[in-house]
Amino acid sequence: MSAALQLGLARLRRRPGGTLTQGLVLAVAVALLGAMILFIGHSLRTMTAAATRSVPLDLQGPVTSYQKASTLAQRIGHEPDVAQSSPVATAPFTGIGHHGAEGATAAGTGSILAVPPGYLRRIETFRFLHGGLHPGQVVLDQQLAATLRARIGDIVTLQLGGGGTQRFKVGGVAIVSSADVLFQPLNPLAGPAPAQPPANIAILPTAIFAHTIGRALPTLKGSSAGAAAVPGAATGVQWQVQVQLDPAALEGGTPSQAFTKAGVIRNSIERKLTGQIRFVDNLSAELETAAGDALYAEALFILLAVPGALLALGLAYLAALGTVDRDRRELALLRARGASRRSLLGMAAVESSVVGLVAGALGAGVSFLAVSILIEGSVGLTATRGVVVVGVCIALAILGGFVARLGTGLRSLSETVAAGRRGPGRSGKPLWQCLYLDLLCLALSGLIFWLTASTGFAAVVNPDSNPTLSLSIYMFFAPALLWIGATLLLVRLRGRLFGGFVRLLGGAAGGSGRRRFLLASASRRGAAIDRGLVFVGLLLAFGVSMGVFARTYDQQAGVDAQLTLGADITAQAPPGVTAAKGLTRKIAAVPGVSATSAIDHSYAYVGPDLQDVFGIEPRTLSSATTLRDSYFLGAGAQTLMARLQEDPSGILVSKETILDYSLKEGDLLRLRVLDHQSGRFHIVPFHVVGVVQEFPAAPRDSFMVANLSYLAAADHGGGPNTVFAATSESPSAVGGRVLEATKGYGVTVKNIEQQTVQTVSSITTVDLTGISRLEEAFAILLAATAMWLFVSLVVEERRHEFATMAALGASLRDIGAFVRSEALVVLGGAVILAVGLGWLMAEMLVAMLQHVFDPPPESLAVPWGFIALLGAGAVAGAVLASVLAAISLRRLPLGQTLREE
Amino acid sequence: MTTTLETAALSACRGVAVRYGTREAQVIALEEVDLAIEAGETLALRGPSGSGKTTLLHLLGGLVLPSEGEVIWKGRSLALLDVAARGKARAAGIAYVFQGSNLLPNLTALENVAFAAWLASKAGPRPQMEPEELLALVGLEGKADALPTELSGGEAQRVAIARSLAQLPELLLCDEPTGHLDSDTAGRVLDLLWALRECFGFALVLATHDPGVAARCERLVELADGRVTGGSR
Repeated sequence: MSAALQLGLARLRRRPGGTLTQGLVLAVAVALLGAMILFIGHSLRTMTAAATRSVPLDLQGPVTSYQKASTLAQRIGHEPDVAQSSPVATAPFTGIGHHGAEGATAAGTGSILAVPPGYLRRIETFRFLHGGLHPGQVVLDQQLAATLRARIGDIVTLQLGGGGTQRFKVGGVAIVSSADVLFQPLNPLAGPAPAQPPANIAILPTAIFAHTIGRALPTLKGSSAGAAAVPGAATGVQWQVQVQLDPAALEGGTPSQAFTKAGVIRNSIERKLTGQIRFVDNLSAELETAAGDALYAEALFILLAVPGALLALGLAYLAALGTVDRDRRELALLRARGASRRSLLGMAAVESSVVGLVAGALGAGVSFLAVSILIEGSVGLTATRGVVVVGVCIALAILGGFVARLGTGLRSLSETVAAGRRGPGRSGKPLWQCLYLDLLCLALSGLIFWLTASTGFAAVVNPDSNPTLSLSIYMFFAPALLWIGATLLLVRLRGRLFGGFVRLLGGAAGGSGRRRFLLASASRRGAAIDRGLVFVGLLLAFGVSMGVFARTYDQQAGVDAQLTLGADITAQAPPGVTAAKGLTRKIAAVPGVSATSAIDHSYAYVGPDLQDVFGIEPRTLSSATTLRDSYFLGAGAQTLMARLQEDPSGILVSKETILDYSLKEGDLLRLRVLDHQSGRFHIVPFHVVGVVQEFPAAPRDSFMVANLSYLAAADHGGGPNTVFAATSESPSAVGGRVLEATKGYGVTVKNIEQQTVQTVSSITTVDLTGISRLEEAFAILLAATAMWLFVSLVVEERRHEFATMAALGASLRDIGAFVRSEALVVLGGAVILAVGLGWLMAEMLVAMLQHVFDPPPESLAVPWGFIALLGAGAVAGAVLASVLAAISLRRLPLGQTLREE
Repeated sequence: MTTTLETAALSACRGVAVRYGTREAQVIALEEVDLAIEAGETLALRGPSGSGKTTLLHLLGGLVLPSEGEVIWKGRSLALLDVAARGKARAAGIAYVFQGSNLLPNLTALENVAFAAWLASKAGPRPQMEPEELLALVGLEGKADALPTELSGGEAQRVAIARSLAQLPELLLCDEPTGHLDSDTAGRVLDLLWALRECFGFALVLATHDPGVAARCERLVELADGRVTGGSR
C-alpha cells in the first residue's frame, strides 16, 4: 500500500495542472449537490413551519359540560408537547340589541365564543382591537360593534333561543380571524369541516358564560355535523377543549414527519383519556395538505435537480476521462516496470482520496457560499447540518473521483502493455449506431409521452395515513429517453456533418489550406469531441429546459396568486364601509392605481348547496383584474361580461352546477340569498348567462358570479365589501399607499407580491425561486466549466502532438486553431442540442406536470436573459480557456515534451 | 534584432551550455559545446544515453535555447529570433526525424506530409514535389490514407522522412531514427536517408549510439556528460 501511496502522490505532484482541473471540476459538481441538499432540506422544513404556524387552532375536542372541559383541559395542559389547553364553548344567539347615544340598534343571529383568561397566549383565533376580556363583560366582533355602533362601556342585550336575554357591558372590540374553525361542527369521526362564519360574534369569559348562558341553553350532547355550517342553525352550547401543540415539537423535519408526529401526540392524549375526549384535528389536516405539497415539491426538485447533479458528476468523470490516453500510456509504462494491478488500483484510490478530500471541502464551502448569496434569508444552517453537508460533499467527491479513475483506468488494467503504449486507432462504428439506438430511444420517448398524455399524466397524492405521491414511473421514461436519444442522434449527425465538410473541401487528397487539416483532425477526434459535445450540450439543454420550466412556473404562480387574491391589490372593508365612505373612488385616486372595481363576496344556496356568490361590476372589472378566456366555458371573458351587463339578473354558474341541476343558458335559477337585514334566507330569481370555472378570488369548487347592484338589492348587505385594484407600479408599494388612504376604515389591504409568497393551498406555492436560482447559477458556472474543461483537456491530451507541430514550424496561431476549431464544433453542436432538446424537454416537463399548473399555461415563458447568460457563460469559459491555452502553448517546453513517449 | 555572424557554416554552436533547474538541483545537459555544420555534410553525434545528443539536436533547430553561448543558423543567432521566426526557420529549412516518428496521430500519412508542406509554403517557396510524390519517393504511395497507428515502425519512420522532405530541408536533424526498428528495417531507412541526401543535398546530423550508423557519416562528434569528448570537428 505504501508503494501505491507513493505512486499516487507522485502522479498528483507531477501533474499539478491536471490535478487542479480535476479537483476544481469535482468541487463545482459536489458544490451543486451540497447546495441542493441544503436548499431542499430547508424548503421542506419551511413548509412544515409554515403549515404548523398557519393553523390558529390545532385540536378541538367536544365534551358535554363545563366541568369536563375544565378538568380535561387542565390534564391535557400537562401533557408533553402541548403548548396550551383551554376549556371553550360556543353557543348561538338569536339577536343582539344596544341602546346608545345614537338610539337603539340591533343585529340578527350570531354566535357566542366563551374563552378563559389567557386564552390568546398561544391560540390566535382572534385579536383585540380595543379593550380586552374582563370578568362579566362582553367583547364584540368588529363588524357587530360597527353594526350596533357600540363602544366600550356600553350595555348590550343578548337574546337567546327560548326567549331569555342577558345584559353585558362591552369590554372590548376584536377581529375574529378564525371564525370558520371556531364555529365548525365538531365531529371527530368526520374531521375538520370549516363552516361559514356567523355574521355576528360576541366573546365572553368562560366562567360567566357557564353560569349564565351555559345554563340557559341546552348543551349539545353529540356532534351535529352540518348544523353549524348554517349560521344560526346551532341550537345549544358546544363545550370543547381547545389544544395548541408546541410548534417546536413538530418543526425541524418534513411536513410528512410533522404529520406523523402530530398524530402521535393526539393519539397519546386520546389514549390516556380513553372515552373522555376525541379531537377534531385541524393541524393534521393542514399538515396533510402540506405533506402533499411537499411530495410534489420533492418530485419537482428531483426533476429539476437530478439532471443537473448527474451532469455535474458527469463533468467530473469527463475531467478524469480527458487524459485517458495519456493515463493509459503511463499506466502501461508503470506495468512494464513491474507495478501490479493491485498497486495501480491502490494508486487510483490514493489519487481519488486526496483530490476528493480537497475538492469535497472546497465544494462544501462553495455550496455554503452559493446558498448564502442566492437564497433569500437563512437556510437554517446549523453546525450539525454543516458537518453533514461537508461529509456528503467529501464522500461524493472521493467516490466520484474514484469511479471516474476506475472507469477510465479499467481498460488500461485489462489490456496488454503494448496496446496501452500505442496511440489511438481509427475507431469503428459504435454498436449503438449500428443498432440505431438513438432513433429507437426517440421513438420510444414519443410513444411513452403519447401514451401517458392520453391518460392525462395522472399524478395523485394518496391521502392515506401518510401521504404518498403516485406518479407513473413510465412518465419519467419519456424525458429520460429523449435525453439519451437526442444526444446520441447529435453524436451520429456530428460524424456525418464532418464527413460532409471534409468531402466538400476536397477530401484527404486535395486542398492544402489550414481548414482542411483542422477538419481532418477534428473528424478523427470523434470520441473526445463527442464527450465535450455531450456534456456541454446536455448542460446547456438542461439549463434551457430548467430555465423555461422555472420561468413558466413563476408565470403561472403569478397567475395563480392573482386568481387567489383577485387583483394586484385587494382592499376588504367591513359591511357598508365601501359604499358609505366611497372607498372605490378613494383607492382609484391613489397614485399607482390604474383601475378599480368593487366586488361583493357573499353566499347563497343553490338547492341544498351553499355556494360563494360574487357580485361584480362587469363594466369595470376587466380593467381592474385579469380575466382570461380560459376562466370561462362556451364564450370568452369579454362576451360574458357583456351578457352580464345587459341582463341585471344574469348569473354565471359553474359547470358542476350546470350539470347537477340540468341548467342551460337562459334558464331561471332561484337562489336562497341571505338577507342581512332579517338574518334569514329568501328566494331571489337569476338567469343563467354563462359558465365560469375560474374567477379572481373565487374558491376552487363551485361558485357563482352575478351583478353587484342586483345582488346588493337582494341581500341588503350594504353593498360591496372588496375593492379590486390594478397597479401601474410595484403592487407592494402601491398597497402601502392604499392602506394609508383607507386608514381608519378597518380596511385590510393585500397585494399580489404578498400573496405569491403566502398562498399555501396550491401546488404552485412550492417556491421554485430558490432552487431555480441555484440551478441557473450552477448551470452557467457548469457550462463555463465544461467548455473550459474541454479546451484544457484538448491542450493536455494533445500537448505532444502540438509540440511536434511546433517542431515542424507551425506558429502558435496555427496550433491554437486546432484548439479553437474543436471548441467551436463543441459549442455549435451544444447550442443546437440546447435549443432543440431544451425546448422539447421544457414542453415535455410542462405537459407532464400539467397538474402543477392551475390554470394551465397558455404558452411557455422563455427566460431570454438567463439563456443569453448561459450561452455567454459557455463562450466565456471557452474564450478564457483558449487564452490560457495560448499562454500554456507559448510556454510549452518543446524539448521536454518531445521526449515524452 | 538579429546579428549576422561571419561564418561559412550552415549552422553552428559557439560555447553553448544548456542547464536545467537551479543551484543544487541544477542539471547540466550540455557544456562548452562548439560545433559547425557545413551545408550538405553528414555528421554523426555519438554518445551514451544522457550524453546530450538530443538536447544538441533540439538546440540546432531552435526548440531549446542555450543557457550560455549561441546557436547560429545561416549566420543569424537563433536566440535573437522570436518564437515565430524560429518556427519559420524550421518550417522551411530545418527538419527533424524523431526516434518515435512523432507523426501527428489524427492525420493520415499523406496529411502528415501535406501539413508540413503547407507550413513550409507559408514560410518560404512552395515545395517542388507534391505530398503524394514525396510519399511515393519513400515507397509508401499505397499508405496515403493510413493513420499512424496503422503503420509499422519502419513505415512510420519513412512517412516522417517524407514529411521532413516537404520542408525543403537544408539541415535534417535525425534523433536515433532507427532506434525503434529492427536491423533490416533500420538499414533500409538509413539507405533511404542517404539516397535522399544525395538527391536533395541537405546536411544531415544524426544522433546515434550505434557505431555502424555513425560510420556512415562523413564526420563524427563524440559526446559524454554533455561535453564534446572526441571526433573530428
